[in-house]
Amino acid sequence: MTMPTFQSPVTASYEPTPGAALTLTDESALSKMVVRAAPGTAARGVLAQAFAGSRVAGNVLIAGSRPDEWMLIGPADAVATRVSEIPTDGHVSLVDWTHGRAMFRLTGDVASSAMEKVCSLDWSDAMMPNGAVTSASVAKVTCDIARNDVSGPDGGERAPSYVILCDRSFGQYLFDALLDAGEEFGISAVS
Amino acid sequence: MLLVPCPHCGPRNQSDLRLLGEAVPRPNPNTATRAEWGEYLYLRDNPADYVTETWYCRAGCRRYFTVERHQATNEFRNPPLPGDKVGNSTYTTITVGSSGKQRGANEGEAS
Amino acid sequence: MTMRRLPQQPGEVIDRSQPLKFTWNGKPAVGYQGDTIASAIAAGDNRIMSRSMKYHRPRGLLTADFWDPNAFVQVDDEPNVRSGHRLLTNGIDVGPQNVWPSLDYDVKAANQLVGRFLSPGFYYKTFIHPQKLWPAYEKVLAQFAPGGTVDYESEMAYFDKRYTHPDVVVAGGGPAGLAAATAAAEAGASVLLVEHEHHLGGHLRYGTEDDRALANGLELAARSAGVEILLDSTVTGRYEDNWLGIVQRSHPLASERLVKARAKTLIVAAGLIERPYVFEGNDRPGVMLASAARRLINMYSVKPGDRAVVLTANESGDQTVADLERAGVKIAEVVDARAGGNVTATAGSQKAVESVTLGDGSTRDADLLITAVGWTAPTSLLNMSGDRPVYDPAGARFFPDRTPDNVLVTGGIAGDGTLDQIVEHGRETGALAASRALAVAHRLQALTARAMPVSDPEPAMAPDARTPLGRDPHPELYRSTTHGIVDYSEDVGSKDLVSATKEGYDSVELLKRYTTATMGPAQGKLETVNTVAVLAEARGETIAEVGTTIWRPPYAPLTLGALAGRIFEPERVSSVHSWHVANGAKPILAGQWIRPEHYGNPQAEVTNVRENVGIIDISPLGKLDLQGADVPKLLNLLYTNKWSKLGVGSVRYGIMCAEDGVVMDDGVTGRISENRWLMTTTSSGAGSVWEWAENWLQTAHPDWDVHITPVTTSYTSINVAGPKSRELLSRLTDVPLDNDSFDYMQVRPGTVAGVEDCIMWRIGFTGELSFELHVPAGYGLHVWEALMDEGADLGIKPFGLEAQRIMRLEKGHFIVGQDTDGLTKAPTTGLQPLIKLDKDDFAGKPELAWAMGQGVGDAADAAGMDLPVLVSVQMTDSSIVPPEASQIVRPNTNEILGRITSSRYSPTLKASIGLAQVPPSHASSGTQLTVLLTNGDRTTATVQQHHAHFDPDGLRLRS
Repeated sequence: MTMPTFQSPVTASYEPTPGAALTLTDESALSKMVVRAAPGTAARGVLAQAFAGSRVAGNVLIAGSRPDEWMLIGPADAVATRVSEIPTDGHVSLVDWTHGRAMFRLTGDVASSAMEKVCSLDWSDAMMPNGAVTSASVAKVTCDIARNDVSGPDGGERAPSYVILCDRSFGQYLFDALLDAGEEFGISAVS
Repeated sequence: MLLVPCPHCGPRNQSDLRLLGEAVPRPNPNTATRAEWGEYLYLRDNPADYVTETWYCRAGCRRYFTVERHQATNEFRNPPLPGDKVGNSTYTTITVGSSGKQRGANEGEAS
Repeated sequence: MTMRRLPQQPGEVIDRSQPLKFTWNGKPAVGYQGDTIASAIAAGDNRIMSRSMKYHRPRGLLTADFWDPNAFVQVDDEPNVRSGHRLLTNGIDVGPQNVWPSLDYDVKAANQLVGRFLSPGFYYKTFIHPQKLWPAYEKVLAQFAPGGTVDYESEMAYFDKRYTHPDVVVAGGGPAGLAAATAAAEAGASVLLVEHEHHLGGHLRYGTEDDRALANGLELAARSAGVEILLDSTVTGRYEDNWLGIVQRSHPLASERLVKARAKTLIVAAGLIERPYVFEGNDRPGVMLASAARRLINMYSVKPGDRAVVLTANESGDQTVADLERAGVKIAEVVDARAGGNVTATAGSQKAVESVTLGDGSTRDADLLITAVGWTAPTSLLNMSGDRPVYDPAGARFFPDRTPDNVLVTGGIAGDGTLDQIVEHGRETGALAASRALAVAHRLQALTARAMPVSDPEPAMAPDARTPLGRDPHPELYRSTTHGIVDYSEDVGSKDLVSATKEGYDSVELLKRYTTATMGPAQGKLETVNTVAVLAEARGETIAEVGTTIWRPPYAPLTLGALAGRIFEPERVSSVHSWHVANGAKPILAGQWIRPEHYGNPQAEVTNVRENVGIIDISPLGKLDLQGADVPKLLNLLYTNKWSKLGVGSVRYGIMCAEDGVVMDDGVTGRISENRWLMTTTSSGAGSVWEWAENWLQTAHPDWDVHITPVTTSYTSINVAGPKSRELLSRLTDVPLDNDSFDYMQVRPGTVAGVEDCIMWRIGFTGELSFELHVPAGYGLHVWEALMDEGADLGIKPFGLEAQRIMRLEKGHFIVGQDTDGLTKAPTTGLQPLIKLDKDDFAGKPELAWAMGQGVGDAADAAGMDLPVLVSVQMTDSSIVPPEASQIVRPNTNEILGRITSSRYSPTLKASIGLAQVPPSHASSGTQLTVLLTNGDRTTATVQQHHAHFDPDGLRLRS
């Protein structure tokens, strides 16, 4: 038998609004790998990413999600390549979170205003600059969040963009809660 | 809504953390008398003064840490700095009983 | 209809090009865009706005703003609307409250004739005995309850919530607040200014031409400085570290929006609130504060009366005289309180002032009495910041004492001065606030891991070099020589306060609670100081000696809708959820999970599992991935049994206890590979066990190498149960499933229905041969559907939680939290063999040692504990299923021995079965128990030999 198609936790369908200033994209199908590495392990040197920050290497977002935890997010083959480069000697563990976590991307100049409606963190550029990684309660669901600015919804200049991950089972709820928060900013879903 | 000095994340809203109460040393489980164990489980001084407490950065870095907080003024003293060793084998800070059962990480606390 | 509307006034805020129609008290009425409901009603020559809550006395406008205690109205289906504040909109139906049958004629106004029966504490004293009559009293008294009418058919409104982190929040948009906000913004701070009213400028807005020009200039400056301004919004509370609650009533999309702000500095510029005067007839329609008259004339172009007496003790009162004259109101007398003048009473009909008695005993014909006797400092936000304001008799009001560094005070609440001085103080305060806020912002940024790194040193905080505001002398005017109303909204008079004081309620906090003075919707803004003054007079002390009540949040009442905000109720579903919905599952909420309780007939689902094969979606089952060399140590510490020798491919059951020996969770953990374990927990314990394990690792054993990663939602978990489960699964996987290859209590990784990386356990909660599949969740629905398809000829049916509960009860498996409670220590469960006291350590070990008579200590400690025992029971009458938690009592008595913890009808055994907690004396097999049913009947049950009612030797699950 061949592998079936990956099913996103966002099962409802949405009508996208062309030209929306704020978009919410379901990226749950991307590969997500959790790496845990104890102090002193070689893996840390290869990951070379401090807690609460991130960088994009190749096609993979490498995020320092906890003091001893990293998340590698991207297309499956690119993530697999990165992971294969991580030495596993010492106290290092790998867990595939692709299926465990829903993942959305909220993009647009007003994205921080929408986040203010569902999360108590300070979303200013100083406190949550591009590259910043944190976790927090979003609409009462604990999420990992990385700011990873990309081209805006209109394809033009880079716009603030937040990558938001939560437990897969909350996926549909959180997607809808974010859409509700973005309604006053003319949000459009891309699923 | 207190700002709690998480040594890893930095100051965070109290609702992002869980307070486990005063950090008390755990007696040796093989030699403790009933009185000693009972004191460990149930008895706290609750002074109007600084008390070393254990907090869990529930919605954030998921690290446990201890910090002194004044029980009357809520002021924090000597917060641990990033990189300070958090674990301290002289303290366990386990809450007891099912009344003290730590609620699920995703069961939202109002924030 | 607009007989009291004046020609255009220079400062009016109404738009005469936009007339609005509404109904007042059943009759058509008109107003203009910009009118408050109250100003539009007053413009229609209506003096009576409402009747008071207790005595049903007619009441007219007193303050004509947010705080007006007499202007609560019903607007369509919304009760208790503050008509002095709410803007008029087209087409609304406005009605008075506390009137029956009508505003003009009210039956309950007879209450005022029997006023002495309604003295303070009347209800407490009169209706407390006999207690059994209370239901009857309640019905009658409910008719007298004040307030409007709630329409239960009303549609839900949309409320909103937002968080914000400004450097500086300014509470109050008067001259000082505006100047402060502007200065703070110019100094580089982000500033949020919150104004209670619809207009900026505070008292200037109803002042002179120059006042308005100043207000406009200040507003323009604030807006150009980039200050974010929220109008018609209130800072309702200040909490630790300047966490502020702000209710925004002016949001275009939501009924109300709750803004939670973390301000680095809070500037309190709440201004001053004019205080009513206490004298006989002070609540007769036509008695009005000077500020109310000025608002009506200058902002809404409404002539408040025809012939006025003005009692003035300050400049604002003096200016009112000019305003009244300009509006064409004849001045019958200006009484200057500074020169010893006074007013002692009004006379007239119930509905209107007709004459005013002055301090010298003479009377003046008038339909309007304006009082300007002083100001109350609304120090709520200061109280909430830890300040205890101090009364100054020379200034006749309370002044701030000491606030924390992150709270600054400016404007009238801080002191007096010329407008220039007040604006200057505001500016200095704003600059100081910005300096402090920017230092705090810098520190927060430097401490916050995710924030942009800071390179500059922390900016120094400027010293507080402000020129303090002065204090103008003001006569102390609280009560005249006569008695009158102190709390308009609660209908409490000064006489009531005096008599309550004589009854012994002579501290301000007691007096407040006993008489309810200051406890109404004005929240003390108008009444507190008068209450304190009357108490001080009755006690023969000064106001400073009596002290005041502490103002607590909220500053102004807010709706429950605003507090609730947008409703976040996270719900969780598995990957198979859509299938469940499409196939008629009856949903049940378990924690946050929406799960199938059954698909129509749980009894049939049980029978099908026992005879054929069924599948259940158990995705919520807690799952933790454990990796590291020290995992066995952690398992030994968390569970009561031993884990060191668990081999690859095996699973084991264990129970976890808290440090007091109480059962916390249970589940199975399997060793998937040399270095990896998968722990399962109860569905509700998934989060707590994870935190519990992390706690031990991080605080007690940071040297252990263990990584815990929650993977509950990584897998769709499906239990395939029933005698035909092996046959079914063998069609979908190459993993050998025979007993020799894959025995009971073993685990195998493998591919199922084409999905790689599945994990299969062979365990069974139902008591049948069963395989628990953990499938990568993105393919969960696919595997579920494949099982349903492949199992069609085997009689496969899905089963829900209810069938599983019945089957586990038939097998006598307990559920943590259902059959155990917050006091149930592990030995009660009967699993003593799983409690290994010879381990060096595990959570709860000493308690369990004492419980089992093997603990440290003397003979008494060694005797063990007389713990309840969990037993299986069968009811004598199989048609009776006692509700869970039914008591087990000693025969012929009500002495409680224990309780039924679980009960169901067993379709397999055709019997009523259960689990029960009983004392050891009643735990042996064959014991007859008496069960008290909720209807009072008694039935009997028999203790069984085994926990399992069905297949006690477990032959089926090992088959």
